Amino acid sequence: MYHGQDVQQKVEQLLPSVTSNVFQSTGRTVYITPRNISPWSSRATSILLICGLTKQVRRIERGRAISIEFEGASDSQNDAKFRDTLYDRMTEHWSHDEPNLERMFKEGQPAPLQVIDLSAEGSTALETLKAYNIERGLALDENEMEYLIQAYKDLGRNPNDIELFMFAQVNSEHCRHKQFNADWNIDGIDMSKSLFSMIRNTHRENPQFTVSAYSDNAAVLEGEMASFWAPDYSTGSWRQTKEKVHLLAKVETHNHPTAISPFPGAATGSGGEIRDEGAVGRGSTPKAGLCGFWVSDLLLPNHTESHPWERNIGKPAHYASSLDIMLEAPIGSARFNNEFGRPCLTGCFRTLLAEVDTGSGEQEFRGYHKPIMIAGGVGTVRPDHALKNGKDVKEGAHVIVLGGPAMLIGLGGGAASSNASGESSVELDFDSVQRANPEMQRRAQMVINACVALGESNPIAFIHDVGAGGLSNALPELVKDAGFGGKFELRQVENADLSMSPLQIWCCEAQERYVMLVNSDGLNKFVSIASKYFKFERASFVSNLHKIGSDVVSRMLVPSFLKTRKGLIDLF
Amino acid sequence: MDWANFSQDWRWRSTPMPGPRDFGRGGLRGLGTWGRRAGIKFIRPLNLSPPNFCIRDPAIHSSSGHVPPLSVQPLHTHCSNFCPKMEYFTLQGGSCLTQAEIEKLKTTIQAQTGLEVSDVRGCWIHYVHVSAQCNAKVGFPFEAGTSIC
Repeated sequence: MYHGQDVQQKVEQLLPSVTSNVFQSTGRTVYITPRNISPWSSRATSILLICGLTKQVRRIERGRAISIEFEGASDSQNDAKFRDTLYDRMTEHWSHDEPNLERMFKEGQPAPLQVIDLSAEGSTALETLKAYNIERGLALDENEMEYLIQAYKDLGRNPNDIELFMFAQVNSEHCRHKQFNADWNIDGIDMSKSLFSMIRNTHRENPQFTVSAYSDNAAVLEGEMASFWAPDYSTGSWRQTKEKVHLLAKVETHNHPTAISPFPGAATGSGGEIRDEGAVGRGSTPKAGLCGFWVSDLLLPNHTESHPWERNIGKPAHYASSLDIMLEAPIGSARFNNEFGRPCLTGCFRTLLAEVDTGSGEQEFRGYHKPIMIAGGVGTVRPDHALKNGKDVKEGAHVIVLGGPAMLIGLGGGAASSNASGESSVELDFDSVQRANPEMQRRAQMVINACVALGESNPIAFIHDVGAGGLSNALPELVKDAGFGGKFELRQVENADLSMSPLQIWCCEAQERYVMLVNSDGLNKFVSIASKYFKFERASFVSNLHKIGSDVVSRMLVPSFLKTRKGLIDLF
Repeated sequence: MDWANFSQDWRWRSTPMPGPRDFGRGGLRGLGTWGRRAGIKFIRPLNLSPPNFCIRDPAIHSSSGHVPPLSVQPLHTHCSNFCPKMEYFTLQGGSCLTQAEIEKLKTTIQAQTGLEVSDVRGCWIHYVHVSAQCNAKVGFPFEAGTSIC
């Protein structure tokens, strides 16, 4: 038995309804446990640590035991019929045996980097890359694969998994909007504007009252004089100042995660949008949100006659049904908003499944089996902090990852969301499931708020949120936008699963994280603020910035390496 | 503490990385080096197998030069000298199903299997991972100038 029986007593006092009764069943018993570290585990472990169990408790997890008693005999073949009723296969394990706790709490050795041998015997480089592309769901097209093969041939070496994964993420439709930025030729005539240019045209024609648009994590509109309440850092007392307060606005989608697991997908959709609103300029404040959903026909049970327009044409096995999406996703979105502390005030909802003529005499169905989930909101930003400016960043500034730890979740969301429906395997989509921890994000936002309250002394020189592609997108974007380069120490990233490979640390989409640049002269202040809100977690210091052109450039990470072969990633 | 070079000078790590001044590979052997620089004196040479430690509290140094208590938390299960084995206990919680959910499940499962369901019950089970031995033996946190031996 472990040392200190009082640990168990303390844990019992903190957990609701703990009973000494042993769960007994005369029927079929199943144990349902989380696939990964659950949000409940993160929060409950934090509470236990705060309550003084820092030296005894590593982690606490929660599962369910469910007993079903049938009148007659029932064999295991029947389980498959009702299994999906009892558990979420995307986020939970199902077993007739009690969970293996060694496995549940396993903390393995760090996995190594993987090199993909393009010169392997028995297959061409293109065949090898195609197979890896499908295996990992990278959504690379053939042109991109041929480009990569030539690039590595020129380099005289094989690619590693980080390079390929990052290439796929930053060049995915999700991150790069290739279709929106593409040139169009309609009926033999070249169009002067891409789809994105058409969207931006309104602002181009009427830029008045806009502080920034299409350049930051959210658009900023010129505001009016208002009261800004914030604590005075030196005295600790609250103070009101009259100043102009700019408004910011943002809407984005989070479709693929919502399709495969509606509640956490929509929750993290709202969470990501909230982070965007908090990462404008040098730090900003989310105020109010919205959520919206587009799905195919709901197929409400027992409403076939009253809804004759609805058609049941089936769905991809790994996608939730439209009805399940609408029953769970809005709650996920609202719950994240609520637990973060931002009201979700409005939203929208539509269904559509239409049978249309393709123009060649054939009929096809068009609808939202892969749903649209939009999250949006408005917030405020102080005028002095409204714009990102590389001049605010000094050489040697510290690259900091603030928020929750890296975890093996949400791997490859950018590329996965760019796959057409059904192209990615079910197993792979387990990697795209995300999880939300709004309490963690609130704490990170409190750090931002405290820094913003310092006004001119705000130690945050540059900030981005971590979204699709994880750090592989956020960190290069951060240093590149500031006009610098950096060498990142992946093993310095706070990590909840020590068995993760460099690829997994670099590309996982663990939520509730921000990356920021803090100059050396502001670091002391930033650390003292962050330590108040992150008592048991660390802010990860992953790099110091270096001017492009220094001797570090050969090991620098450049996100736009599609354009310059000199910038191919050389992390190790 | 040289805050200007904080992240370079002070390797905050939770997983093994080679380096003379971190607590990665080599584990606590790096602590002796750090201790000399930080003013902490260890009486017995630290020659322990490689656990992995990180400094949890970023404000461990003040500009006055005072060295507050150092809070060090073990992060790995592989520190065999400290943690001979990992330990767990489970605690059963209350029902994870409301009465309405139970009734709905009975109906749904009955419809799905064609078998009559007489009862459905469910409860929460909490799994707790503890490592009391590790800390009990070492006696964290360290105080400046004290010995851990």
